[in-house]
Amino acid sequence: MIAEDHPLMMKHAKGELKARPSHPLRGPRLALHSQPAAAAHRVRCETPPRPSRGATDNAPAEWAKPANDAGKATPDDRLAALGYHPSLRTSYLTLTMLAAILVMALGAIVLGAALGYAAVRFRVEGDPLVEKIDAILPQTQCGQCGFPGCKPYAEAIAKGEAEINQCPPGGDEGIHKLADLLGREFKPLSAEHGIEKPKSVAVIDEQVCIGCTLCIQACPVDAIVGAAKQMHTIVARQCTGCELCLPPCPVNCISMQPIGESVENWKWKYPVIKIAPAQREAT
Amino acid sequence: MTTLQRLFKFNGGVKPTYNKEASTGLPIAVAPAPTFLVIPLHQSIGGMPRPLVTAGERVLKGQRIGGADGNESSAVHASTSGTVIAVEMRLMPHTSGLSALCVVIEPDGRDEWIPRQPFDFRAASPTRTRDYLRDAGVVGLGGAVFPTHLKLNPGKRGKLDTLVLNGAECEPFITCDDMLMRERAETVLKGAVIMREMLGAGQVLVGIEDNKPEAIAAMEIAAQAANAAAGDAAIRIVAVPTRYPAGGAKQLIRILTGIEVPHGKRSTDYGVQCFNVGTAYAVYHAIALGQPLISRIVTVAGNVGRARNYEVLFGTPMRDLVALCDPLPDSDRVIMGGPMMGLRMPDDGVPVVKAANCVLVGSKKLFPPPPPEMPCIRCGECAKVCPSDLQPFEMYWFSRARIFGKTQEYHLFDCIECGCCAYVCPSHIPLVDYYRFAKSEIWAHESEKEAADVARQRYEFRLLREEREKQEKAAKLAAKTAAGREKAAAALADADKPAVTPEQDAKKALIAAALELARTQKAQVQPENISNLTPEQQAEIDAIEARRAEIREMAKPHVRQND
Repeated sequence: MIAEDHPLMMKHAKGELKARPSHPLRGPRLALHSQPAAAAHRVRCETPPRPSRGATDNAPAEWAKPANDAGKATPDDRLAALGYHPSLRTSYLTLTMLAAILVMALGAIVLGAALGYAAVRFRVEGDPLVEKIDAILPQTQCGQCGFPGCKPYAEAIAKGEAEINQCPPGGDEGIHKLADLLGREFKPLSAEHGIEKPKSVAVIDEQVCIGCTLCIQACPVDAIVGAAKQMHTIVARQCTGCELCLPPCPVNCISMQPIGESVENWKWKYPVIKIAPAQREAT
Repeated sequence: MTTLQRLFKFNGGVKPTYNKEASTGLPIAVAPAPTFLVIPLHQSIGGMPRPLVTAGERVLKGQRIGGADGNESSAVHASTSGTVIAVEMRLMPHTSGLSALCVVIEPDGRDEWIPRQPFDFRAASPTRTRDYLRDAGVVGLGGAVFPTHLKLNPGKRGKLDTLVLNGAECEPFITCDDMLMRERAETVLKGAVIMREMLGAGQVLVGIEDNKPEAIAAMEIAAQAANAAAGDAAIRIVAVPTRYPAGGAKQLIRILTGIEVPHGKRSTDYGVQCFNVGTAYAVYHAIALGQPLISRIVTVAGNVGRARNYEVLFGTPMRDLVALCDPLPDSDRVIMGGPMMGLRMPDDGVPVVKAANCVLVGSKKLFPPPPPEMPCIRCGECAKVCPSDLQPFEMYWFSRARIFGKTQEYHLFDCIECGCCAYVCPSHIPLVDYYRFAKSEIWAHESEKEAADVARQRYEFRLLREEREKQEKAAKLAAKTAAGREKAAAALADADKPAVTPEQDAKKALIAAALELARTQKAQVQPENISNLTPEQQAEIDAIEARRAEIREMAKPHVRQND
């Protein structure tokens, strides 16, 4: 927008603005060919002193000149020679700058709104890192790590409050996976949290069980079936081998039995080529 | 019937030496029942059947001794009549050399059948028929032992286009299907007709490799008869080029119909289902004769003097079977299956099971130990011969490096373990061993993950339940206190009222009287041992009392001592 009191408009109103042979910026560009770079820079950046209102009525020769070598013609001189006022160029620059700022601001507002909408619309519930850590943990819910379950331990790891080597059931393999996920260094299993044992399930000696229900209350995955003064038994398929039922048993009738290898869970071994001594031909 | 069937090709494959002639010279013989039958309960893919008999029980031939565990399982039957000696862990015909639950039967020699009745599958619903086949223990006899009743399902389409009978028998040494088709072609096709009806299939294509001209001829005659009886030309016998593994289900379907079943799809999605000829034979016996699957035809070949096919009762020790064929003295191993895909048995005493199409006797001379494994030179021969269009070298590298996720990206589970890649490998790499290793690692990892997911779910539910119980308890307690307060307030209000009912007065009076009585009685009672005391005794008592008082004084908390 060009304000009413803008010099350009005022000149226009006064009939001083004539058809120009070229763009006002052409002048300085022409000058670039003949002037050293520093001078050209100054010409483009320095705002020439704004002439007073009275001065505009005077001849172009009286317009203020920048402190330049008297002999050389400045671009402003050339402009003046063409019949233009230097302030015209300045106001044009201000205008384009304003427009640019306006466009940038508009863009910022639009993008900001889009990002804000996306943040609300595609909001992720919970911490995805905790979920990822929790997926690696073996879910025995044994509490050996010092936390009341695998999820709280995962949360502690994510916050950096716990080390990655506190999970004995996960073993070295689990620590390696956690180290890979979190970009941390592998650490051997911390001894104070226990040692890695072969996978086991708890088994109740049903002859000895007195039906006290204490183990049922201790089992984190509800894998023990029974009622008060009734024999209890463990659903082996759901037992995670956490050993939490062992301490509460008043008659010590629960024991851990390692899961043996069966035809169902047997695994093919890594192919190992036996190195046999070379057979020498009988001589 | 026509020989103008257009045939297609599968990529890859190899042409090993077939060695089939030795065992086709003699007709199928019935192997005698052994002294003890050891029948493993788990003989098919799916859940392990539960034992239905106990030691000491008498069983009849064909009696169910193992009940299917769910629908994805298959029953097991007594192969002959006799007495159950034990239900115990015995060595399994499995590479692991591990034991599993088996029923040990001592045959009584009478071979007494259970009452047998044909099953009218046309009158019964398809589900009922499938349940019947499950309980008759019919499984795929090509070697994979997949329960047949699960495959006899046309699926969503309700009707299939083609039923493929697999008589290709591409693996060297094995001739059990060949001999079955030569001698019992009619029964095989009767079974095929039943299967065709169950699947609603338009045509039946029987694919037989062209190195079995006798079987093709016998089947042609039987097919003519069957087509004439049915009044159509639905059954066609197709000779397919001899190339290993043309007998793979997907490969044979591709040869016969040109359909290439893509990764993750089933052939029924494309209107085709494939069964082994032996399975068709078993289906006929189960449905038309009411006989469950208790025996199969087994090729005994390899390092034996007289290779032959036998009809063998399940549970017969392989040792007994091999002994019938004059094994050569340098025999040192027994392989179940053929030389390409077979598994070496931990002992020759393991029983013949439904999966055993061949008992191959080996020796160092017949199957020399493989030369040492050399590094992979990336020649690509394995990819050229792979009939499943996989990249065996990629799967090998990743299996070797234990990067199992990548092996799955290269579709490791589409590998049929045919062994072509290892057969052609110039570096003698036991490629299939690597794939089997990777597969079982992935399976173990998946089942572990499943167990962990279940544990997580149960733990979270427990937390939820505990929280709920706590809230319920708190609510109950709050209700109780509120009720108590109300009662107290009511009592207070009551006390304010001077009016007391005469009954309450009477009650109070009674209580007061009882209390009074008790008090007087207590006062009257005196310890009897303190009357008529001598002065010494009295002095002693006083001393004791004084000591007691002193002790009581000392026992009091010394609160004021410091003041």
